[in-house]
Parts: sequence; C-alpha cells; structure tokens
Amino acid sequence: MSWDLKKPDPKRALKSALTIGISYIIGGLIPLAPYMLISNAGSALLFSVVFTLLALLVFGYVKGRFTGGHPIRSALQTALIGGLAAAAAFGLAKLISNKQASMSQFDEFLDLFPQMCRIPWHTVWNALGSNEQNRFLGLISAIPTDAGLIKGLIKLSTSQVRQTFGHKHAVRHPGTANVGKSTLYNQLVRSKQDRRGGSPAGHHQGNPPGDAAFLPWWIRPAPMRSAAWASMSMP
Amino acid sequence: MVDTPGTDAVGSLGEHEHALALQAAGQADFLILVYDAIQGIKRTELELFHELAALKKPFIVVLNKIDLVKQKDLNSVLSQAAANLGLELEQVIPVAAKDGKNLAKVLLAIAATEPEMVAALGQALPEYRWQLAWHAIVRAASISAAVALAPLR
Repeated sequence: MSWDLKKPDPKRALKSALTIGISYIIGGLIPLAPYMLISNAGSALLFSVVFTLLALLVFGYVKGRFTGGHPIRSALQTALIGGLAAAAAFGLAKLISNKQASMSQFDEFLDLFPQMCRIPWHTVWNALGSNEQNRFLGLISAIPTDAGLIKGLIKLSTSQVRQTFGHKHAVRHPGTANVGKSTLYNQLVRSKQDRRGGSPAGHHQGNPPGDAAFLPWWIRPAPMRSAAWASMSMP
Repeated sequence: MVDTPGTDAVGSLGEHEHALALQAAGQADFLILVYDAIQGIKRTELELFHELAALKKPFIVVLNKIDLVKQKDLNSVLSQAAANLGLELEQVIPVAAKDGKNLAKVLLAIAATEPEMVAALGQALPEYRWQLAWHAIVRAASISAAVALAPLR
C-alpha cells in the first residue's frame, strides 16, 4: 500500500464532493435519528448520546484495525474526543438558545421580510386552515428571531458555495509606472520561466491586453505557450 | 495573473499603454491596485483609482515599497493613502514586493474579497497553497460553527 500523497485528479472533484457530502449526512443522521423517532425530546437526547457513543466506538475500532493501531485504544480515543466535541457543541448551543426569545407569532415572522412581501404572505396565510397554521407556527418557532443573523448565515454560506464552485482566475494588477508591479508579479509567481522583466522606463511593450503572455505556464493552454515566450522578449 | 503596463506615461505610447491597462483590467476577474508608498496617492493615482473602481470589479489596494518608509511614519503613510482613496485603513495592504513582505496577506485578502478566486490561486501559486488551503478550512469551519450555533429552539 502506498502512503504517498498524490496530486488530486480534478475530474474526481464531483465524486469527492458527493462522497464527503453523503458521508456527512449519514454520519449526522446517527445522533439525529432518535429525535425523528421519539416524540419526547428528553428520551431522544438520551438515545442520541448512547447511539453516538456506540457509533464513535465502532468507527474508532474499525479505524484502528485498518490503520494498524490498537483497535480498543483507537475506539476509546475516538469516543472520548467525539464525545467531548459533541458535548461542547451542545453546551454552547444551549447557552445561546436560552437567551433567545422564541418567535411564535406569524406577524413576528413577517417582520423579517420587506413590506412588499407581507401582503401576499397574509393572503396565503388566511387561506390556510387552522391545522396548517399551527403546524407552520411550530415550524417558524425554530427559526432564529434575528433577521440579521439569518442574513449573515446566508451570506456566509453563499460565500462558501462561491469558494467551492467558483472558477474565476484572471488577476490584473494595474498601477502607475514604477510602483513595483512587475516586482510584485515576480514575487508572487516565483517560477523563473514565468518571470517578467520591466523596462527602465516602466514601459511594457508587445503584450496585448488580457493575453496569456504572463499566465504561469502550468495553467497556460499549450498553444499559448510559444506565443507567450515570443512576447516575453522585452525591448 | 497578467502583468500590465504603467498607466501614467506621457505621449502616444503612454496613452496607448493606459488604454491597454484599462482594457486588461476590464477583462479581469479581480484587480490588485498597486500604489507606491513613497509616491503616495496624488491626482494621477486617484484618477486611476476612480477609473478602475468604475469597472465594478472586485479589488484590493496594495501600497508597495513600504520597506522604503521609516517605521515611525508607516501608520501615517497608510492612513493618508487610505484617506485619499476614501477607504478604511485596513483596506490598504502594506507590501514590500522587493523582499516579499506581506505577499501572503495580499493573497488572503483576495481570497476574502473574492472567494471564487481561491481554487485558481491555489492552483497557480503553489508557494502559497497551504496558506490558501488553511484560509479555506478556517472559513469553512467558522461557517459550519456559525450555522451549528445559530440558536434554534
């Protein structure tokens, strides 16, 4: 078995994302399952703790066997660390949620939205039966009451999605002459074959704007490489 | 990453280079606006800033050659540059490109301003890959923690 780190294959990105995502969901279902199956939250918590500890013990044992360590020790280590992490998360969430007022009225929920959204929402609300209204109130009571918090979370999550799936790549660093643009470029790029020479007057000739002349060679499409070399010759 | 010509040379060549630089900036996904700490932000620099800001591209501002500024003057130079550009102090990144000082800060600022650049930066600049990866991990962990700790009843 080879333990060398290999260069990741970009074609595996989707497969890796799905593997990690699905594993995360399955792993997350273990502590959540009791809450789905048992109506009493106190009993569900007890079952959740027991299930989670058992799952951590099993995972640690299997990990120990596959990595050549001591399975029992690995099982106890994993259960201890996982248990502490879960306890810390639970404690923090409880600490914060105790300070949070509940949002049990539909009007409070509507206050989270702009004025123009409220009229259609009211129309829909009035069309619902009382059972549906009660169910919906139960649902929204779990939503944080602070609209700023929701917005913040959405913004952060969007940023994460952008980071994961973003494909922007073109950076330019404009500036007036002799401010050190080429020096900055050379320091960032580092590899000698991509280094840029600056003319004494700070003039750069022979490079069409937006070309690939100074793209690092490892991301430059092959047909552009020869053109890039040609345009690297400075006056 | 594409090097661009200076934008303030005089004569027909200068005008041509100015147009080329703006055209290149217009095609970019991200701009690093480079200024000189010794030269400061004068009229030419300010005009360039407004021209580039009008492109509505995400950008950061880098103040280069801070190695030539006396340590006791550094804060006032940075404050003055930020004030002249109408930016907050923390939006101007002091850099000494000559000896590579604060270059990692430049890349992390790009990653923070435009998350969509992170993968390309990591791919193109292996020297800074671990810092970008660390930034991505901390960011993802912080977001997960923020979501997890959002007070649900």
